Amino acid sequence: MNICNNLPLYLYSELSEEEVKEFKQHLAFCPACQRAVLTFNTIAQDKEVQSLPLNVIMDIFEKTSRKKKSIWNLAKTLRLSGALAAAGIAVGFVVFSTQPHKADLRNYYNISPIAGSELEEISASISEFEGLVTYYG
Amino acid sequence: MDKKLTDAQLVSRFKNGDSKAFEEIVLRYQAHVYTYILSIVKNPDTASDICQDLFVKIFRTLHKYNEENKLKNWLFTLARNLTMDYFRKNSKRLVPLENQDEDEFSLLDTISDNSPSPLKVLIENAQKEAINDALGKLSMDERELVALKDNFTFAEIAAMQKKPIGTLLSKFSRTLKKLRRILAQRSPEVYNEYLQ
Repeated sequence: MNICNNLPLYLYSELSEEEVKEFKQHLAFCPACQRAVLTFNTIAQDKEVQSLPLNVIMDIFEKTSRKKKSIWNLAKTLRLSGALAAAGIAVGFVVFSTQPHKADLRNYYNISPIAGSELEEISASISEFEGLVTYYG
Repeated sequence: MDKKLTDAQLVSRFKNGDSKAFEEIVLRYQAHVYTYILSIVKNPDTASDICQDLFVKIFRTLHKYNEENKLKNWLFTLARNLTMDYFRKNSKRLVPLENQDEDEFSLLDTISDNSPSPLKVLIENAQKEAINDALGKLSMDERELVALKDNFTFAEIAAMQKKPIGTLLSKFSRTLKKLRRILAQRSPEVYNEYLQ
Protein backbone atom coordinates (compact mmCIF):
# COMPACT_ATOMS: atom_id res chain seq x y z
CA MET A 1 0.00 0.00 0.00
CA ASN A 2 1.25 3.45 -0.93
CA ILE A 3 2.13 5.16 2.31
CA CYS A 4 1.22 8.54 0.79
CA ASN A 5 -2.40 7.39 1.17
CA ASN A 6 -2.01 7.79 4.93
CA LEU A 7 -1.39 11.53 4.56
CA PRO A 8 -4.97 12.65 5.44
CA LEU A 9 -4.99 10.31 8.46
CA TYR A 10 -1.69 11.78 9.60
CA LEU A 11 -2.97 15.34 9.20
CA TYR A 12 -5.95 14.61 11.45
CA SER A 13 -4.04 12.48 13.98
CA GLU A 14 -5.94 9.36 13.08
CA LEU A 15 -2.90 7.10 12.85
CA SER A 16 -1.52 4.90 15.59
CA GLU A 17 1.77 5.84 17.22
CA GLU A 18 3.61 3.29 15.14
CA GLU A 19 1.98 4.50 11.94
CA VAL A 20 2.86 8.12 12.80
CA LYS A 21 6.53 7.23 13.20
CA GLU A 22 6.46 5.38 9.90
CA PHE A 23 4.78 8.27 8.11
CA LYS A 24 7.17 10.87 9.51
CA GLN A 25 10.05 8.88 8.11
CA HIS A 26 8.30 8.82 4.74
CA LEU A 27 7.52 12.55 4.96
CA ALA A 28 11.17 13.44 5.25
CA PHE A 29 11.74 12.13 1.72
CA CYS A 30 8.43 12.83 -0.05
CA PRO A 31 8.10 16.35 -1.55
CA ALA A 32 4.50 15.75 -2.58
CA CYS A 33 3.45 14.94 0.98
CA GLN A 34 5.51 17.85 2.30
CA ARG A 35 3.62 20.24 0.00
CA ALA A 36 0.32 18.73 1.08
CA VAL A 37 1.18 19.20 4.76
CA LEU A 38 2.10 22.82 4.08
CA THR A 39 -1.16 23.42 2.23
CA PHE A 40 -3.18 21.79 4.98
CA ASN A 41 -1.53 23.83 7.73
CA THR A 42 -2.13 27.05 5.79
CA ILE A 43 -5.80 26.23 5.21
CA ALA A 44 -6.51 24.85 8.67
CA GLN A 45 -5.38 27.92 10.58
CA ASP A 46 -7.92 30.13 8.83
CA LYS A 47 -10.89 27.78 8.67
CA GLU A 48 -13.44 28.72 11.26
CA VAL A 49 -16.70 27.36 12.58
CA GLN A 50 -19.50 29.87 12.16
CA SER A 51 -22.45 30.13 14.46
CA LEU A 52 -26.08 30.37 13.45
CA PRO A 53 -27.39 33.91 13.89
CA LEU A 54 -28.96 34.32 17.33
CA ASN A 55 -32.35 35.29 15.93
CA VAL A 56 -32.44 32.01 13.97
CA ILE A 57 -31.66 30.04 17.13
CA MET A 58 -34.46 31.85 18.96
CA ASP A 59 -36.85 31.15 16.06
CA ILE A 60 -35.99 27.46 16.37
CA PHE A 61 -36.79 27.52 20.08
CA GLU A 62 -40.04 29.41 19.55
CA LYS A 63 -41.14 26.87 16.97
CA THR A 64 -40.21 23.91 19.14
CA SER A 65 -39.40 23.80 22.83
CA ARG A 66 -40.91 27.22 23.65
CA LYS A 67 -43.88 27.06 21.32
CA LYS A 68 -46.93 28.78 22.88
CA LYS A 69 -50.29 27.12 22.31
CA SER A 70 -52.65 29.50 20.52
CA ILE A 71 -56.42 29.24 20.92
CA TRP A 72 -56.54 27.45 17.58
CA ASN A 73 -53.99 24.89 18.70
CA LEU A 74 -56.06 24.28 21.83
CA ALA A 75 -59.15 23.74 19.70
CA LYS A 76 -57.33 21.24 17.54
CA THR A 77 -56.17 19.25 20.52
CA LEU A 78 -59.68 18.94 21.93
CA ARG A 79 -61.85 16.05 20.78
CA LEU A 80 -64.60 17.14 18.39
CA SER A 81 -67.41 15.96 20.69
CA GLY A 82 -65.93 17.90 23.55
CA ALA A 83 -65.67 20.98 21.42
CA LEU A 84 -69.24 20.62 20.29
CA ALA A 85 -70.42 20.09 23.85
CA ALA A 86 -68.60 23.19 24.92
CA ALA A 87 -70.14 25.09 22.04
CA GLY A 88 -73.59 23.77 22.94
CA ILE A 89 -73.24 24.85 26.53
CA ALA A 90 -72.05 28.25 25.39
CA VAL A 91 -75.05 28.67 23.07
CA GLY A 92 -77.46 27.55 25.79
CA PHE A 93 -75.97 30.00 28.20
CA VAL A 94 -76.37 32.83 25.71
CA VAL A 95 -80.02 31.93 24.96
CA PHE A 96 -80.93 31.53 28.64
CA SER A 97 -79.20 34.70 29.65
CA THR A 98 -81.17 36.73 27.07
CA GLN A 99 -84.67 35.41 28.16
CA PRO A 100 -86.44 37.64 30.69
CA HIS A 101 -87.43 36.10 34.07
CA LYS A 102 -91.07 36.01 35.15
CA ALA A 103 -90.42 38.74 37.62
CA ASP A 104 -89.28 40.91 34.76
CA LEU A 105 -92.18 40.03 32.44
CA ARG A 106 -94.48 42.68 33.89
CA ASN A 107 -91.92 45.36 33.17
CA TYR A 108 -91.09 43.75 29.86
CA TYR A 109 -94.76 44.03 28.71
CA ASN A 110 -95.38 47.26 30.58
CA ILE A 111 -98.01 45.67 32.80
CA SER A 112 -98.76 47.77 35.88
CA PRO A 113 -100.87 46.56 38.92
CA ILE A 114 -104.53 47.59 38.94
CA ALA A 115 -105.33 50.39 41.45
CA GLY A 116 -108.31 50.20 43.92
CA SER A 117 -110.70 52.61 42.09
CA GLU A 118 -110.04 51.00 38.77
CA LEU A 119 -110.85 47.62 40.28
CA GLU A 120 -114.24 48.85 41.47
CA GLU A 121 -115.09 50.23 38.03
CA ILE A 122 -114.13 46.98 36.40
CA SER A 123 -116.19 44.97 38.94
CA ALA A 124 -119.22 47.20 38.27
CA SER A 125 -118.83 46.72 34.54
CA ILE A 126 -118.62 42.96 34.93
CA SER A 127 -121.79 42.91 37.08
CA GLU A 128 -123.65 44.97 34.51
CA PHE A 129 -122.46 42.65 31.77
CA GLU A 130 -123.50 39.60 33.75
CA GLY A 131 -126.93 41.20 34.23
CA LEU A 132 -127.33 41.68 30.51
CA VAL A 133 -126.28 38.10 29.85
CA THR A 134 -128.87 36.90 32.42
CA TYR A 135 -131.57 39.09 30.93
CA TYR A 136 -130.97 38.01 27.35
CA GLY A 137 -129.66 34.48 28.38
CA MET B 1 -28.47 22.42 32.17
CA ASP B 2 -25.30 20.44 32.81
CA LYS B 3 -23.09 20.87 29.74
CA LYS B 4 -21.27 17.62 30.42
CA LEU B 5 -24.29 15.47 29.63
CA THR B 6 -23.67 13.08 26.78
CA ASP B 7 -25.80 13.08 23.66
CA ALA B 8 -27.45 9.86 24.85
CA GLN B 9 -28.37 11.46 28.17
CA LEU B 10 -29.80 14.52 26.45
CA VAL B 11 -31.94 12.37 24.16
CA SER B 12 -33.14 10.35 27.13
CA ARG B 13 -34.08 13.51 29.05
CA PHE B 14 -35.92 14.86 26.02
CA LYS B 15 -37.92 11.67 25.73
CA ASN B 16 -38.89 12.10 29.39
CA GLY B 17 -40.34 15.51 28.63
CA ASP B 18 -37.39 17.80 29.26
CA SER B 19 -37.59 20.37 26.47
CA LYS B 20 -34.44 22.08 27.73
CA ALA B 21 -32.53 18.98 26.67
CA PHE B 22 -33.48 19.71 23.08
CA GLU B 23 -32.26 23.28 23.43
CA GLU B 24 -28.95 21.94 24.71
CA ILE B 25 -28.68 19.73 21.63
CA VAL B 26 -29.33 22.75 19.40
CA LEU B 27 -26.72 24.87 21.16
CA ARG B 28 -24.21 22.02 21.09
CA TYR B 29 -24.47 21.34 17.37
CA GLN B 30 -25.83 24.49 15.69
CA ALA B 31 -22.45 25.96 14.73
CA HIS B 32 -20.99 22.77 13.30
CA VAL B 33 -24.12 21.87 11.39
CA TYR B 34 -24.54 25.43 10.11
CA THR B 35 -20.91 25.58 8.98
CA TYR B 36 -21.32 22.23 7.25
CA ILE B 37 -24.46 23.29 5.39
CA LEU B 38 -22.93 26.69 4.59
CA SER B 39 -19.92 24.99 3.04
CA ILE B 40 -22.26 23.28 0.58
CA VAL B 41 -24.78 26.01 -0.23
CA LYS B 42 -22.43 28.99 0.12
CA ASN B 43 -25.28 31.29 1.15
CA PRO B 44 -25.89 32.21 4.81
CA ASP B 45 -29.65 32.82 4.46
CA THR B 46 -30.18 29.50 2.72
CA ALA B 47 -27.99 27.72 5.27
CA SER B 48 -29.97 29.35 8.10
CA ASP B 49 -33.28 28.24 6.57
CA ILE B 50 -32.11 24.67 6.10
CA CYS B 51 -30.71 24.62 9.63
CA GLN B 52 -34.00 25.83 11.05
CA ASP B 53 -35.92 23.15 9.12
CA LEU B 54 -33.42 20.58 10.36
CA PHE B 55 -33.82 21.32 14.05
CA VAL B 56 -37.60 21.60 13.83
CA LYS B 57 -37.60 18.17 12.18
CA ILE B 58 -35.27 16.85 14.89
CA PHE B 59 -37.64 18.15 17.58
CA ARG B 60 -40.60 16.41 15.98
CA THR B 61 -38.89 13.05 15.46
CA LEU B 62 -36.39 12.83 18.32
CA HIS B 63 -38.87 10.88 20.45
CA LYS B 64 -38.68 8.09 17.86
CA TYR B 65 -34.88 8.09 17.64
CA ASN B 66 -33.38 4.93 19.09
CA GLU B 67 -29.66 5.12 18.40
CA GLU B 68 -28.72 7.54 21.10
CA ASN B 69 -25.02 7.00 20.68
CA LYS B 70 -25.00 8.21 17.09
CA LEU B 71 -26.93 11.45 17.44
CA LYS B 72 -24.19 13.44 15.69
CA ASN B 73 -24.24 11.08 12.71
CA TRP B 74 -28.01 11.34 12.47
CA LEU B 75 -27.88 15.14 12.64
CA PHE B 76 -25.39 15.45 9.81
CA THR B 77 -27.10 12.82 7.68
CA LEU B 78 -30.39 14.69 8.02
CA ALA B 79 -28.59 17.96 7.30
CA ARG B 80 -27.22 16.53 4.09
CA ASN B 81 -30.60 15.11 3.06
CA LEU B 82 -32.33 18.44 3.63
CA THR B 83 -29.62 20.27 1.72
CA MET B 84 -29.99 17.90 -1.23
CA ASP B 85 -33.78 18.33 -1.05
CA TYR B 86 -33.23 22.08 -1.27
CA PHE B 87 -31.20 21.67 -4.43
CA ARG B 88 -33.76 19.35 -5.96
CA LYS B 89 -36.48 21.90 -5.38
CA ASN B 90 -34.43 24.83 -6.59
CA SER B 91 -32.36 23.50 -9.49
CA LYS B 92 -33.38 24.84 -12.87
CA ARG B 93 -31.94 22.03 -14.90
CA LEU B 94 -31.31 18.39 -14.25
CA VAL B 95 -27.62 18.23 -13.43
CA PRO B 96 -26.16 15.61 -11.17
CA LEU B 97 -24.99 17.31 -8.00
CA GLU B 98 -22.63 14.61 -6.82
CA ASN B 99 -19.55 12.95 -8.19
CA GLN B 100 -18.64 15.82 -10.44
CA ASP B 101 -15.27 16.00 -12.11
CA GLU B 102 -12.90 18.48 -10.62
CA ASP B 103 -12.82 20.68 -13.69
CA GLU B 104 -16.57 20.92 -14.26
CA PHE B 105 -18.66 23.75 -12.94
CA SER B 106 -20.92 22.47 -10.25
CA LEU B 107 -24.58 23.35 -10.19
CA LEU B 108 -23.78 25.32 -7.08
CA ASP B 109 -21.65 27.65 -9.14
CA THR B 110 -24.56 28.13 -11.53
CA ILE B 111 -27.08 28.85 -8.83
CA SER B 112 -24.98 30.89 -6.50
CA ASP B 113 -22.52 32.69 -8.76
CA ASN B 114 -24.27 35.96 -8.08
CA SER B 115 -24.54 35.28 -4.37
CA PRO B 116 -22.01 37.01 -2.22
CA SER B 117 -19.60 34.59 -0.59
CA PRO B 118 -20.72 34.38 3.03
CA LEU B 119 -17.15 34.10 4.25
CA LYS B 120 -16.13 37.32 2.54
CA VAL B 121 -18.32 39.19 4.97
CA LEU B 122 -16.19 37.95 7.86
CA ILE B 123 -12.74 38.07 6.32
CA GLU B 124 -10.41 40.69 7.75
CA ASN B 125 -7.22 39.99 5.97
CA ALA B 126 -6.02 38.96 2.51
CA GLN B 127 -4.85 35.52 3.56
CA LYS B 128 -8.22 34.53 4.95
CA GLU B 129 -9.91 35.94 1.88
CA ALA B 130 -7.64 34.03 -0.46
CA ILE B 131 -8.04 30.76 1.39
CA ASN B 132 -11.75 31.03 1.66
CA ASP B 133 -11.93 31.93 -2.00
CA ALA B 134 -9.97 28.80 -2.77
CA LEU B 135 -12.28 26.70 -0.60
CA GLY B 136 -15.23 28.16 -2.45
CA LYS B 137 -13.83 26.99 -5.74
CA LEU B 138 -13.94 23.36 -4.68
CA SER B 139 -16.71 21.11 -5.92
CA MET B 140 -19.64 20.43 -3.62
CA ASP B 141 -18.31 16.97 -2.78
CA GLU B 142 -14.92 18.36 -1.89
CA ARG B 143 -16.34 21.17 0.27
CA GLU B 144 -18.58 18.70 2.02
CA LEU B 145 -15.68 16.38 2.81
CA VAL B 146 -13.60 19.24 4.19
CA ALA B 147 -16.55 20.39 6.33
CA LEU B 148 -17.30 16.87 7.58
CA LYS B 149 -13.69 16.43 8.62
CA ASP B 150 -14.24 19.07 11.29
CA ASN B 151 -16.70 16.73 12.97
CA PHE B 152 -15.93 13.13 12.02
CA THR B 153 -13.03 10.79 11.47
CA PHE B 154 -12.44 9.38 8.02
CA ALA B 155 -13.73 6.02 9.23
CA GLU B 156 -16.97 7.61 10.47
CA ILE B 157 -17.49 9.49 7.21
CA ALA B 158 -16.83 6.31 5.23
CA ALA B 159 -19.51 4.54 7.29
CA MET B 160 -22.01 7.40 6.92
CA GLN B 161 -21.53 7.69 3.19
CA LYS B 162 -21.08 3.93 2.68
CA LYS B 163 -17.84 4.47 0.78
CA PRO B 164 -14.46 2.78 1.14
CA ILE B 165 -12.16 4.78 3.40
CA GLY B 166 -9.45 4.61 0.72
CA THR B 167 -11.76 6.52 -1.65
CA LEU B 168 -12.16 9.31 0.89
CA LEU B 169 -8.46 9.49 1.62
CA SER B 170 -7.65 9.78 -2.09
CA LYS B 171 -10.30 12.43 -2.55
CA PHE B 172 -8.96 14.45 0.37
CA SER B 173 -5.40 14.28 -0.98
CA ARG B 174 -6.62 15.44 -4.38
CA THR B 175 -8.54 18.26 -2.71
CA LEU B 176 -5.39 19.50 -1.03
CA LYS B 177 -3.56 19.48 -4.37
CA LYS B 178 -6.43 21.38 -5.97
CA LEU B 179 -6.41 24.01 -3.23
CA ARG B 180 -2.72 24.51 -3.70
CA ARG B 181 -3.22 24.92 -7.45
CA ILE B 182 -6.06 27.42 -6.93
CA LEU B 183 -4.00 29.48 -4.51
CA ALA B 184 -1.08 29.50 -6.94
CA GLN B 185 -3.33 30.80 -9.69
CA ARG B 186 -5.57 33.23 -7.82
CA SER B 187 -3.52 34.34 -4.86
CA PRO B 188 0.16 34.14 -5.76
CA GLU B 189 1.12 36.33 -2.82
CA VAL B 190 -0.38 33.82 -0.38
CA TYR B 191 1.07 30.94 -2.35
CA ASN B 192 4.54 32.42 -2.35
CA GLU B 193 4.36 33.36 1.32
CA TYR B 194 3.08 30.13 2.75
CA LEU B 195 3.19 27.35 0.22
CA GLN B 196 6.61 27.57 -1.39
